Amino acid sequence: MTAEALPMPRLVPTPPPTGQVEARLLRLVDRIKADDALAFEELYRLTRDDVARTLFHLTGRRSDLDDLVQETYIRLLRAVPAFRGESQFRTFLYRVCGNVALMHLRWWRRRREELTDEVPEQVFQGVDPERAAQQLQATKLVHRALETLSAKKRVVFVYHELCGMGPEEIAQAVGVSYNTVRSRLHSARLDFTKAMKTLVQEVEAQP
Amino acid sequence: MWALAADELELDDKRYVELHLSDCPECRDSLEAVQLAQRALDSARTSSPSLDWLATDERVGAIVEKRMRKNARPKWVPFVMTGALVAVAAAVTLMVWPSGEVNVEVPPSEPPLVQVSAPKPIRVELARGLTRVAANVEPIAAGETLKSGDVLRTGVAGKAFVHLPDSSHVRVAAGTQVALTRAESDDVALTVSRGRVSVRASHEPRKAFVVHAGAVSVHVVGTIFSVENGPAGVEVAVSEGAVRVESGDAQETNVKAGQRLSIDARGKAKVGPLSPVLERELSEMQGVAEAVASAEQQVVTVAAKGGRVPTARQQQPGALPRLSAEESKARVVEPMPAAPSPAPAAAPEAPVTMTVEPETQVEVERFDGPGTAFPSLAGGYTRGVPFKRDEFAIEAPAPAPSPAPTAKAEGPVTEESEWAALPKTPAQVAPPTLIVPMLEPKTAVVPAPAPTPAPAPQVVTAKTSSKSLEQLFLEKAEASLEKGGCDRYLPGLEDIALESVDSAQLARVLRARCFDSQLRPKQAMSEYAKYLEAFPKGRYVDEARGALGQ
Repeated sequence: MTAEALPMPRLVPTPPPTGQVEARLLRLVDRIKADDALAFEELYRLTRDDVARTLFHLTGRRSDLDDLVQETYIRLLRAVPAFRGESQFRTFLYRVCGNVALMHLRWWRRRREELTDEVPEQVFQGVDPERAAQQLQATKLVHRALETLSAKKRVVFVYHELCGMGPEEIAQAVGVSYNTVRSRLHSARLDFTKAMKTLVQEVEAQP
Repeated sequence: MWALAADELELDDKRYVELHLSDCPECRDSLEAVQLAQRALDSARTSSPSLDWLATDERVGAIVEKRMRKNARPKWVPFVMTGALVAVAAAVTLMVWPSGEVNVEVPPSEPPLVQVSAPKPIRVELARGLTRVAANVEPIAAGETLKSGDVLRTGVAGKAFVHLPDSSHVRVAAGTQVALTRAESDDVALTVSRGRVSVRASHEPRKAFVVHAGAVSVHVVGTIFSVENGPAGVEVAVSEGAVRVESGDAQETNVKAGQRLSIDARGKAKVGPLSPVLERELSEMQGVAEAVASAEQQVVTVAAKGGRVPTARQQQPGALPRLSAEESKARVVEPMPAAPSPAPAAAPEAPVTMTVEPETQVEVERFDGPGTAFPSLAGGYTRGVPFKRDEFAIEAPAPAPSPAPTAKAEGPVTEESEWAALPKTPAQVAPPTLIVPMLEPKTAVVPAPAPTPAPAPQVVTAKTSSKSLEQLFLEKAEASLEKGGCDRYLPGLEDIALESVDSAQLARVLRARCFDSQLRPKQAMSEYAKYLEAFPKGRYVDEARGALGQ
């Protein structure tokens, strides 16, 4: 029996609304709709790390991550008035992140350039240096493996595996059906595993 | 395999797969690969990129502030109509103001206040997202007083306006941290750790007024300027007067009105014109400082034995003072035996009259209208209009030759709500004659699709004088594309692209190339799109079309 013949995974259900944080974000959204700049600042403070991490995983080790963060918040500022609360705000935010990342990934692949070495270094707080080095190595490998995925698969895979989003939430964030999410995720997992295996073998083969 | 490793399978399925694994070495290998991948993902999940959050916060803050301001503007009202509406609104504010909100602490029925000549405190006029950086970060509200040594910080969308004891005013932009190192009535030193402060320094005699930013010190005589300490270095912009800038290697540079001096991290200095954003901020600085100074003059103080006091509530709107306190002291004072009365609003050329009874001290200013006096660089007074406030969009006739009216002027017609409670000087509510956004080069020059005709005279003048500088700047910017660091030239290139006739094409294309070289595709494409829109038959059309895939 091959891996493709295995039953489709029972995906992790969408986690329940995040209570206080989500409620706080929604209150901020209401204030932003009333042109309260301070509310947007607070929203930015609350979400910027999450946005940066998501964009980091979605786009890989890019040197212009700060531009992407900026672009995300510009789009968010434009889009917030249209947010009607039909989904969690976090889903809405991830959707904006995903759109920015997709645009960037497509452009990047059109350029067909190698990744630059000007990589923003990752920080791992509260861990010892040895573990931090391992984490850095693992993150690099993961991002190299993610490079082998198509942009659409990559977004779904990152949302599920690295951002902890459930399939229903991903379907809302990406704007596709639940089954499409499952299909893309399954395919992405196969591709990712294959790529990781190859990469690890390459690393091990190095002196 | 993934579902098994992630423990996502139902119990029956799990048993089935495990049973199969025991007989299938190939599948066990697959499971190992999946487990390896999942371990790597577990590690990567907690990793965060390190960003230059200071710079990012500033950029996002600036955009938010700009956008929020834009949202506050009425988009549908034609600009001329808006000007008229603002005039009416300002007039209404003037009529309503004496009855209410300004800090006139003396109700007519209460006994007059005794004048206390205590030193002026450091007072916060406006505090949006302002905090004091101490052991804990404490929010600061408007109206609060500060002390020397306080460190202020504004949020990404914050803004603050602070009055110093020497009658100077400081505007703290978004994303700024500034220390009031010394803020006495005769000695002022500010230290800008990051962000930008704009200063309207008074002409009070004092030991020094200095603003430190990194290795740069800006020495002030009495002027309006801003100091920015950003990732690319320190930038000093002057809109009125001049400042002396000392950089780390003891080099001194004089920056004059209308100039912007940029000093990068290596201490290399460059002079350029003011950007529209800076002009807007400095203009706001001037306008607000004047309005506040006027408001301060409304607090009329008398000795306890005094008679009837002409408080601000009783004054005519037209009698609102225009000059600041120190400026008023230079005026002629004529004691009059008559009872106190509102200051004469008419007779602009008449000397200022102060009505004084024995043991009654009254400070009343007169209003001179558009032809009023304002402090000049030499410390004296000059006739004319002191400064333009683009927020109010009602520009009094300028002393300079009138520039050609622009057909389309976006932006300047607006009124910032946070200053709405402040009194508007009659100059600002004068009948709108001509909306000339002198401080908004962006609005003065609309990129034309064809070779543009001669632009407004003021633009031509500015361009002629800076032509060689412009060429030099473009050459340097072009060279920086290969050497790296072209981002430093982006604001200047934008100015040239908007203002210049000869070099606008090259400036726009250089911006696009710079963004492209920095792997910022959206911005690059946007620049190329702007180029094609402005110059459909330009020299670089092929390049732009190629980049946009047309």
